[in-house]
Amino acid sequence: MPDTKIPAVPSGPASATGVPGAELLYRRLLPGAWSRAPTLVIPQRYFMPRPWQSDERLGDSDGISINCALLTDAVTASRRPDTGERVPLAEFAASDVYRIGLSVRGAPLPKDPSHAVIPELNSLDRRDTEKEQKMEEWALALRNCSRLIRPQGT
Amino acid sequence: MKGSMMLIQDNGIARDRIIPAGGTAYAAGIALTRPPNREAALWKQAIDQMLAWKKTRIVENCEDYPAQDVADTAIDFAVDQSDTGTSAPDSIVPSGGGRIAMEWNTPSETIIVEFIGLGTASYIRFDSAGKVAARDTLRRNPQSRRLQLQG
Repeated sequence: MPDTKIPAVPSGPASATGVPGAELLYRRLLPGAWSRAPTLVIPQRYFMPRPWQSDERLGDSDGISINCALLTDAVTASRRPDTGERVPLAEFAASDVYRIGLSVRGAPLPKDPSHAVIPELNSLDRRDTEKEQKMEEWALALRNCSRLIRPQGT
Repeated sequence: MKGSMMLIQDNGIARDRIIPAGGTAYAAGIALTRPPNREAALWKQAIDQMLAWKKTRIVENCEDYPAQDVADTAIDFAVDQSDTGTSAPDSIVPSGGGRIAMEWNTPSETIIVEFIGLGTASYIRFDSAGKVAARDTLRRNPQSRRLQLQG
């Protein structure tokens, strides 16, 4: 858990971020994981932003992508927009995101109105060693409150 | 286990500062209960998976698949660790931007080694509270050809 103070969990229908604490969120996992056991412990790295590599390859500069369950379903969320491949999901509650000290920002896409981001977990800040270390702890905390789901077809 | 110990000791760093007693990513008590043959078989599976990623990368040319030099480095590391009896990780995953990450978990800590380029990896250890307890960089020693902590 990071050092940041833990804010109160939003209890109303809409938090400051616009996503109620009770809302479930999905994070698409990168394909191809190898696991020593049949039940994969979700790797912490799945909650870190893709790294900045150059001004042409910014990585996850706006934050890591998630989907709001209120606006989609697990099967749809599991489909990668670039390849169409279906992949497993990490599922967690918005209240856990807030408890950790992170936020959720809606970032709807033309073909995906459920798209949102966790802006604190972004590739630009990851270039800073101190910020990256905080991100590492946030990502682990997020992993620890997530569960793996495998929608049909993944 | 010896491989990890060598990895630390070669660089003159007290191994219990970076890697727990027993010299591996696992707490010693857990590592000692793991059958070596089983671990070697798991490492083989993992290496086969990484070799498959290399082929996929050529076909897909997808940003999320591991880069060739990264995969080569991770495979070399896996072979070294397998040869010396280190416990296989819980997971090995493409971690974005062409990287590969290996992760070990115990009740007391989480360790991640992320391969980021040819002969280069980052090392991070979290304590049981989820705090970063140690960070370092692994670089290939041109003489031993093993990845070593920089300290």
